[in-house]
Amino acid sequence: MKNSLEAFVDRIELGEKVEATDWMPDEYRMLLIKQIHMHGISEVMGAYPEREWVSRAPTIQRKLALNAKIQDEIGHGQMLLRLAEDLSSVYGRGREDLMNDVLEGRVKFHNVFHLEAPTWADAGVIGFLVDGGAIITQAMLLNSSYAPYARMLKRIVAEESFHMQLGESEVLALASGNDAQRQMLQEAISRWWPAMMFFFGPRTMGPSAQRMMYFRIRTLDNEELRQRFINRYVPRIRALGMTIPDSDLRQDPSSGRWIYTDPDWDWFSRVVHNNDGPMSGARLALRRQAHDGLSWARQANLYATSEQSRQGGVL
Amino acid sequence: MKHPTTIQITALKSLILAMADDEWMMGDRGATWLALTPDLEEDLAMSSISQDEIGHAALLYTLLEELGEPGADTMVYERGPENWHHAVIAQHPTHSWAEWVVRRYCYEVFDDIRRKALARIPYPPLIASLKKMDAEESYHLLHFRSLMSMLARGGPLSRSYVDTAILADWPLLADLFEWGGRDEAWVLWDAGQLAPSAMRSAFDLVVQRDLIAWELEWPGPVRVADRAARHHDNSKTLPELLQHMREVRHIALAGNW
Repeated sequence: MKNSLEAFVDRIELGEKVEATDWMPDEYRMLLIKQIHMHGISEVMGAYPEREWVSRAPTIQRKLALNAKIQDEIGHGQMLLRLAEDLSSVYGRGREDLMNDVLEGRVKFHNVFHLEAPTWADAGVIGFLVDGGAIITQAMLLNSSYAPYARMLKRIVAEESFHMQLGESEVLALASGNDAQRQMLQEAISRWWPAMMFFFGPRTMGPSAQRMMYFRIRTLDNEELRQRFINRYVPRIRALGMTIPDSDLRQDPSSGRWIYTDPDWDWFSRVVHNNDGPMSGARLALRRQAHDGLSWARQANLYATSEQSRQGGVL
Repeated sequence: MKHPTTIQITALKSLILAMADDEWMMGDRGATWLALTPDLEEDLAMSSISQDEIGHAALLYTLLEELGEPGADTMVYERGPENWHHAVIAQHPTHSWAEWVVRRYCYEVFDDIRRKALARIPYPPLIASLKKMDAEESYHLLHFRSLMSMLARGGPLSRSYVDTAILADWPLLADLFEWGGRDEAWVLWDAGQLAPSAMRSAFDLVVQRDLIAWELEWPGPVRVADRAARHHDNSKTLPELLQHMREVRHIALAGNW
């Protein structure tokens, strides 16, 4: 007779989905928390590079669109953290703990959000390449064995595709602009390309990622995702008249696989694991300013609400 | 008012511009709170409100364009500081959450009174725009009133922050109630509610009632603004803010963005 873990894996291999109320092995729960917590926190931290450009957006329409995009990203973070909260409740951990984790270095966020975004073109390229890359990853997660995550990703992917279109529209405007605009775009693409090569993870996946494949939390490996990204973006960037900063980049005619220069794995790894990127400290300081600096306002909310229910009145 | 006279058009422009510039500045300053509010839920609400305000400003600049002024983007990105007519408080920087909540609560109470007063002007494009704005602004007022109530009743620390914020914001409120243009801007129509003194009284009444209900100290009536209300000819901060706002666009002023 099969044990409960084997029966659980059999269910998953048959394509069945796991609901929040179903029994699940501790390892599966921990892997889900790791994945969804990191995903949610990355969405929140992703607001910081772009928020710098809202006040400087060059048209009213661009200002509104960028503001709305950042709102979406924070909304994704909020929804994902709700999922992580549900999964973490058995360990007595809630929102405050999950938000504290990023400030205390217990949860990572995507490498791209540790980097500088020094020009308006960077805001466009984040939408164009980073959101485009995120869609490739998230489209794979639509098939996740954890049903609440897969359902939530339907909405997230739909909104991310608008973000990518916004990014495309911004870079297209720059590509058809004057020399200064085109140079700004080229410099931004050159800055973000190596980071996007790292974005999908190492060529050989680590033990956690391999276990996520085993449990079908994710269904494609890092290299497959990266190949899809390169395949999609090489023609697009070239169509803009821009150059990809990799002289070795070429497609193997027999296999169709892209050959590319490896990013500086060690450097990016340190950035992500040690919060050691050029903007890690500044972005975490903003998060700390909001979370720690305004904890009194959250406490006030709790106090007022408890007083209200104690008195049976309204605020 | 099917065919407004030249005097009426000048007056209308003055009234609409003051409101458009207030909404723009409140929306723009509100966006600086993106991802910096106390929690993610408030980030979402604040961001939505800022987008509404910027959208209202764009709507009102479009009304001005129909009255012969340049288009909305030109108004925002090319107008000299001397031609902006927002109230000081709409542009004033703040790094204190309590000050921002108090400021926004006061602004929303005022804006509600102003929209009702403006709705008495028989100019259909303005009435239609106000109606559209009302649908969103009513939620803004509810939101900031609820935040005020929460902070006022949120314990001693929170209450002390709100008390300090009220004292800091109060002196900045005066020129909200002025129109920035000549008095004809509001005496042309049979709408006494448009008079600065009437709007100030209506504001004092509502805010005094709310503060008393929240057991906060009311600092007394808002002072009357001086003749330079809503004029920024000598402002040091507005040129800096406009330069920052226009930094990208001015890379290619006539370019495609």
